Amino acid sequence: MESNSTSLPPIYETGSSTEAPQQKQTLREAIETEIERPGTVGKARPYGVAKPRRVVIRAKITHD
Amino acid sequence: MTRTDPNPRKDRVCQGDVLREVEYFESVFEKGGVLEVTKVVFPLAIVLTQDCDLEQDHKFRAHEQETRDKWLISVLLAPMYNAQHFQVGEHLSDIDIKSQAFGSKERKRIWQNNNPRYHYFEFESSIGLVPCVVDFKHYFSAPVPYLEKVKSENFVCKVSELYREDISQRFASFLSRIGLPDQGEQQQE
Repeated sequence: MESNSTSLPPIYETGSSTEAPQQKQTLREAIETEIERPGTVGKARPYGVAKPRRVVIRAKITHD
Repeated sequence: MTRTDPNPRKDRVCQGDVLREVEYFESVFEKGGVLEVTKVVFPLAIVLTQDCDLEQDHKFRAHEQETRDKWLISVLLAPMYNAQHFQVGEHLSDIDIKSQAFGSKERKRIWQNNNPRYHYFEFESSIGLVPCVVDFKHYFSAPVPYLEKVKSENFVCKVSELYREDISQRFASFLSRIGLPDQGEQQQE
């Protein structure tokens, strides 16, 4: 099937119409969306798995 | 290819569940009135605890019994690393651990699950996950209520029964290996 569009290929290859990103979404926005909500858009394209990270939380103890 | 369950249970934690953003608490201490909590966040982890134990735990938590001997104290998980990071030994670099890089020959063995220490995962495209590796030397535990919360927010998929049994069997086999002394050490004794 030939495409009659001259624009760049879509960022997401497949997906239902309800999952499709908005037409005006930029690549960066799309990537950020994908990172934040992989469950909804991840079906369209594999998302990377980040490295484990260490988090340190410091909190001052107060007494009532 | 690792197959996944098309109709995973959502009401309880299951063996083979793949979850995102699972936290492991490394240390908690207090000094001079300041509490310091250190945790490692694993972007992806798989549940290893036997499913029958998880099922019993769920059943007995739901209905108060005379005893709580079926309740689990914690659930066993293994972090899943991005295979690309793993291959070059950089998968734990953000927590200051440099690992071994693998050449093509050894990488092929691992990718074919022929190295007993590692388990390689390649998911169906519909899951939307890059290939991952579990290192059976790396495992941790987390409480059931915490994992139920993680699952409600960060569930990715559940590895199907045959494949999760394969992981479980390989993990158990690796853990039960017997380390014998080196030949040189034996001669010195």
